[in-house]
Amino acid sequence: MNTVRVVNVRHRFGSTIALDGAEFDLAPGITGLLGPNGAGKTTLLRCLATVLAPDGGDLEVLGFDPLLPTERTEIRRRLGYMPQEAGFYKSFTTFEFLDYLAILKEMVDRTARHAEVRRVLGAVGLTERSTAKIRKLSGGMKRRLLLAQALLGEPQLLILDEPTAGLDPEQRFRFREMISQFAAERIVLLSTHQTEDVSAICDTVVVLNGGRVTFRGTPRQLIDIADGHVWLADQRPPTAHITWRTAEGRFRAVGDPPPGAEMIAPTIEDGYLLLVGAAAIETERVA
Amino acid sequence: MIWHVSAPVLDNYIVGQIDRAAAASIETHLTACSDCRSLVPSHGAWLESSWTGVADRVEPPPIGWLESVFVGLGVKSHIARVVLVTPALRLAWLAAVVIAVVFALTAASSGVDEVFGLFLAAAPLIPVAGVALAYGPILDPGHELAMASPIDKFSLLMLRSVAVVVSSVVMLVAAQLIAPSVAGAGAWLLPALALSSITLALATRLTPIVAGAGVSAAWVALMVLTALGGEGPDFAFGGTAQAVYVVLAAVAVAVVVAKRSSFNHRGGPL
Repeated sequence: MNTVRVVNVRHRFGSTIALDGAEFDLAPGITGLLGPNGAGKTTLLRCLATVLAPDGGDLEVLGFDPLLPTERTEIRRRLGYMPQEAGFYKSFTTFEFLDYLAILKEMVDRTARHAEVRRVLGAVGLTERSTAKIRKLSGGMKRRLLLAQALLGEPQLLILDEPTAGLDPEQRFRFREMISQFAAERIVLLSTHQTEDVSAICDTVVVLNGGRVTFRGTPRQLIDIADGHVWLADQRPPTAHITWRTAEGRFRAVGDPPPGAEMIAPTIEDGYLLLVGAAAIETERVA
Repeated sequence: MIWHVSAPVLDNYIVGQIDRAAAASIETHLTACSDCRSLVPSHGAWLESSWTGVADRVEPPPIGWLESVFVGLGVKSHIARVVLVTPALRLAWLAAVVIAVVFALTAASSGVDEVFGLFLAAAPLIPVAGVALAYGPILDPGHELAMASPIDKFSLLMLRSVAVVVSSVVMLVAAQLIAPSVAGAGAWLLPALALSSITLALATRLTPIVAGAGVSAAWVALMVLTALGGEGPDFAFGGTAQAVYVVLAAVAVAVVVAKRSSFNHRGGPL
């Protein structure tokens, strides 16, 4: 079964509630997971990646229950996971690192395994760095190496935690191109703070806030939330959730517009802002 | 005089079944002879397979001496790599080697009973430290990635633990060869097995580091209390004590086997 079901999933770390009844379904395609810092995105992804068991609720990943040991292994056989922060064996070369992780993914045949390592190195543009030590890679290259390991074995489910963090614009475009090709008949779930990535490649958006899903729909539907709530003004409007000065010297405002305001087309960022609220955005900005 | 590569030799060259000297000679000739060059296939698949062959010699990680030993002993190469490759394991082994050799040499050079007793008391902690360091999020930077992989974590932990314990025994034997006066130091072996097994059993509920630290603290406390109570080495290393260690090890192993699935899920109820 090529779906993921998240039903009333709950998890807490001590007194902190990370997930508070999160609920949504995933189908083949790319789903973007948005939310302010502390919304529970990483916790949710770790639960789906079978490295963290939720305190409560139900998960069904590709037709399997991650709480059952044998079914958990079946999920892992079909899973590619790129954590937000992962350690590297810095004395390894990129090839060595991927070869090691390919073994952990049960790729026993040496020749086939090495061919797969070369394939994923090529997919993320690191072929020329195959013999470079990881300690000598830039931050962006390390992110691409993490992405490469997630692609090993062409997994049916790809879970990516902030995959474009630290990538330059060209690398982000290449990432979008690669992921959109990869996701043809697979499920890709990626968390990000880059709303442009979501509007560029995601079929579906899930917004998580305070451990709960506050929105699930298409990027267009998220944009539509802000329809009629974005305007331009000559003076800083006091009632707007958020305002900034544009290059033309005017003020772009998001919130409840005053009568007669000069309305403009909203973006996905505007919809996200209205959904999570200015307070959450402010928290994220400070963080 | 113009010569050309004979058809059988060229066929062998194309499929890679020719010695290096002859291949080098043919390649030198091919750069100058368009007639022979035209007989060598240049289609994509041939180039791809040739390049793959070259890359497969350049890119893959070299096989270290220890890995070679394991493979020589019949361990499959991919298993040897997974067992040996992590820095945490190397660190554990290095610590085991250093501690074992330092104690052995100290005991041999001084010949003082107290030093020998200290060696006997500390030796069981070496494999415990190795087990504690071999698996877990604190010292294994790739632990999160390993957790999400399908490899059986219990098998991985057991393989690494066995490797650590076996290497510790080898180190002790080496130490005894260097310092014959440490004869009888093998009395630490059963305590070491018991403590390592208890560490593994506790690791089904705790992180291996915490489990190892707890077991080590308990062992040190036992040794200190024994010394303060004026008991001789027989109290902790005599025949009765050795029988107790066997029982403890057996119970701990049974717990580990019963709870093996807990190693595959962190932070959960399993």
